[in-house]
Amino acid sequence: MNRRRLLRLLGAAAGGSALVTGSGAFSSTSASRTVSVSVVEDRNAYLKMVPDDDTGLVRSNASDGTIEFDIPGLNNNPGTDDAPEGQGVAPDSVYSFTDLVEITNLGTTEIQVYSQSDSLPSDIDRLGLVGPDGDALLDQSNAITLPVGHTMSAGLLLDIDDDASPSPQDRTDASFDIVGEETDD
Amino acid sequence: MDRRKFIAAIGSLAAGGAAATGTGAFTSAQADRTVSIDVVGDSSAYLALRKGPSSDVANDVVDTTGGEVTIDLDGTGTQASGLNRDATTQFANILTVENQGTDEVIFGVDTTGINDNNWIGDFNIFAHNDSGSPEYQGSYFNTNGDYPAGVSTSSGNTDTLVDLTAGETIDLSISIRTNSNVPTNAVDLRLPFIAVEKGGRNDNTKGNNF
Repeated sequence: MNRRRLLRLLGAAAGGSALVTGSGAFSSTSASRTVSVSVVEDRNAYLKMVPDDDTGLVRSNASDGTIEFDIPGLNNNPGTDDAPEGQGVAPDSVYSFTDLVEITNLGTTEIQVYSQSDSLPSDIDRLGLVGPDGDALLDQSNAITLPVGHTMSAGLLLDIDDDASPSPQDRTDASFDIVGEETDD
Repeated sequence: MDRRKFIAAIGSLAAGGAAATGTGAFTSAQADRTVSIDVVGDSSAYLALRKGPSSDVANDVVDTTGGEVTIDLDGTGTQASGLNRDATTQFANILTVENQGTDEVIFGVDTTGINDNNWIGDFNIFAHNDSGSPEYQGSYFNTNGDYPAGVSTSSGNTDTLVDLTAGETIDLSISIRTNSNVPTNAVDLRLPFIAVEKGGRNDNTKGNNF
């Protein structure tokens, strides 16, 4: 038997096998299979995120290990070293805070890192990640490429609406998605 | 198994898990993370803007309603209703800027949008530091533009940026020269105040990313 023929035979066998499967009758089947999932803190996840900031603008949530941003950070703790005098951000202003979080690709493929925000409070026009140079990474077209095992420094962009009302007693809560997505080939 | 041994075993298991994590493949990860923000008035913000020390003039032209600084050159608060045409009008020490962050910043004002209006012959902002830091000493008005405290001026003037250490303040004066083709109605102009961390990655002194 030459090699070409062997290949053809294998192909036929595979086709036959598929046919048998297709003709099997069953009304329903339920098979429970185990998926083992480890949910870990951000600092141990595939998309590893670790706060890298001493002014309190970002921290790890004590209970679930997710990172969370807080403006004005340490100003909430008067007397703390490094606390800024500023108490927040003003309406009609854009702030870019660099070097808040280190993001590492612990997966096995190169990824694109960016952020997206579907619904924001009316006080906030834009919210998301900035790269090491302070450039906004607010959509996929502005993503930063992060090879396997590499780490990048990311920060936060805040664009406060013209009509936002200053209210030092009230906090505005918002959220955005940090995305690490396999690079398209 | 005694307690000490049990703990050690857990420790090694966890380490194994972490090592396995490092080899994991993922196609995409999307993590929703929260941001809690205090929106405050201009006077309390990281880059604080306040009415300047020239109280009479500042009171007439600087409006801080709603916590946001607005410069009104429409004569509000006076018997006048605006600027002369074909004239240069100066408003001394009407604004104070303070760096309320934790790092030294480079501060500037982007006047290009204003100077793009063809009825404005020239619009300048001048900085003055009461503490007498060398770069700000002397007269804070200099319409010739050769004094280094001016910020981001046009018409052949050298654009100059100002360093502000944490907690440092400067006072700003403005000068506006109108042409004859001034608009008859009040016009709103945007005046971006910009500060970037000194020596930081945005410190390219040739622009900004906003």
